[in-house]
Amino acid sequence: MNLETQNPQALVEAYREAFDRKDVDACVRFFADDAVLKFLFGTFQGRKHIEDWHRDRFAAEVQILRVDDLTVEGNRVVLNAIVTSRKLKRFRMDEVKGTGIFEIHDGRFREVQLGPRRGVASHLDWHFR
Amino acid sequence: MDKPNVVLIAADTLRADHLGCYGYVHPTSPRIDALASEGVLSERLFCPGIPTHPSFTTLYAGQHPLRHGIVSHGGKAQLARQTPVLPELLLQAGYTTCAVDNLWRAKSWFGRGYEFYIDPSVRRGLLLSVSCEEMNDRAIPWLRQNRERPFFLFLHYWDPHYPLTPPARYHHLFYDGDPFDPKNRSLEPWWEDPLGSLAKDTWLRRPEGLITDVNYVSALYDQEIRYLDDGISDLLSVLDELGFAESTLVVFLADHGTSLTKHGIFFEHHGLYAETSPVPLLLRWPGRLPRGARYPQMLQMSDVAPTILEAIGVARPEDMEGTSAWPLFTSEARDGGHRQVVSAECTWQAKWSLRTEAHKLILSRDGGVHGGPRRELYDLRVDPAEERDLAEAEAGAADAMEAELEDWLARRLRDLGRSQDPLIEQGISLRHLTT
Repeated sequence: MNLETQNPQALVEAYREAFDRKDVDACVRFFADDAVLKFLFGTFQGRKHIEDWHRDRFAAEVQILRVDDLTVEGNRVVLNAIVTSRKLKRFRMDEVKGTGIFEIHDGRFREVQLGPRRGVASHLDWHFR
Repeated sequence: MDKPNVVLIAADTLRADHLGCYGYVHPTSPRIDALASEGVLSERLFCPGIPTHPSFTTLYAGQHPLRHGIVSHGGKAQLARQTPVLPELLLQAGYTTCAVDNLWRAKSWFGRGYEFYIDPSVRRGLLLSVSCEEMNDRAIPWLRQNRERPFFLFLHYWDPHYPLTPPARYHHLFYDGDPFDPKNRSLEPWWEDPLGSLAKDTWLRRPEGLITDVNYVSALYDQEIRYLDDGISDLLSVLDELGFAESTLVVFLADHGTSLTKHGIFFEHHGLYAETSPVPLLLRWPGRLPRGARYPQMLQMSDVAPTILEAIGVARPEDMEGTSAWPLFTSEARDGGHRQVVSAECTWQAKWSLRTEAHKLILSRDGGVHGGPRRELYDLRVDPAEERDLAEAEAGAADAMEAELEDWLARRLRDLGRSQDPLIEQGISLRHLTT
């Protein structure tokens, strides 16, 4: 796939397909060399750390169960989805409302933020006291 | 006299013994220490209920958890609508009330009585990611816009709470070593815990690698305190700049402390040990409170609301059962404080404790996550860190304290017209994390 030709929405949808396949190499190719991935309380910068992050998530059996909506504003794509994972289930959460915010430049993700949907009281929060 | 303003500052998860004014060796808290020297300091404010939801409910209601019924974090119990809470009482007394907090997202009674409720964390996915700078960015403009009437401003800072992610400019403080030493296995016991696993997956990862040294994580806790101290400095500077210093009662406290590693509890605030309670309590009101005075008497969280109400001349409702420490702080009374404090937790484990001047007994109803013995006894006169359990060696003393605790619980329940111990009735709220 020639990533340079993808529009932002198609790029995120293609990434999601690679994510669903648990294809680490394909997922990482969507990221710029100096990309930043922010996940919950962590920040992962550069391809090596982003590759490790994907391996960890796939090992934790992260799955996108359903995409609620996807919006595009210029080079920014916001994906609202329902996700699950083995680790989430340890927090008694079969699924959570998640949001991915993708900042895209030159056909690559420059910054990606992944976490609970904003403004939604997360059950995860109740475990932090 | 016009009513004074009240600014109630709560720091989540802040241990008293990690502040300079409580004897800590590292310079974590220069502004908080200065606040202590400008007013009064309680050396021993105990929490009858931990962690966050029970403790803040106790603060607001001025009642023991046995009475208000909120004994666990995230549990199903609700605070009775007729229970008076501090913000409602101040609203009724003519105060403009404002919270900069997010607890209303978990439990609705934390929003009662507030005309203004500012929740900076609503822009974040996780409410405890909010920083003191974000809090102040909302609180300070509110202060500048509400200068004409007496106000009650409640601020609930989260910085010392998990995740320990101070800004990078603090990362060099309070630590001398290699945080990423691959041979260091001191954090490995935490990886099996869900919150430890989440930490390992997120905030313990840096571009340099995975943080492996438990002492560095403890240093991160101190860095967060120093960051918070800077935030409180900014807030107090604005109060002073606006000319509120003389006309404002400032109260600073924490809802509970936290264990860093003691008793096998890593960076969590459960276990009714000295790490979780007592917590700091400072009050400043120039001209009305002495400067630099310290009080060793045992106080408890339910005393704080009655103290504030008496200070500002607002009648306390009968349902508010705490004891005002205002006479003690203003030297109108030499005596004060409690002979004993009964505390509860029911979030990860269900336990009661009875603390006297000399001893602490911890009595387990359900060991939950950490299990532990059915009862523990510590001689606080020789073992204030609570490291040597004497429950077997001094079984007679343990028997006597257990009987005293059970009798206290039975009498209080009978007075309240109840029969069931709420720790047993409600059960551990986060039990699922044990499986």
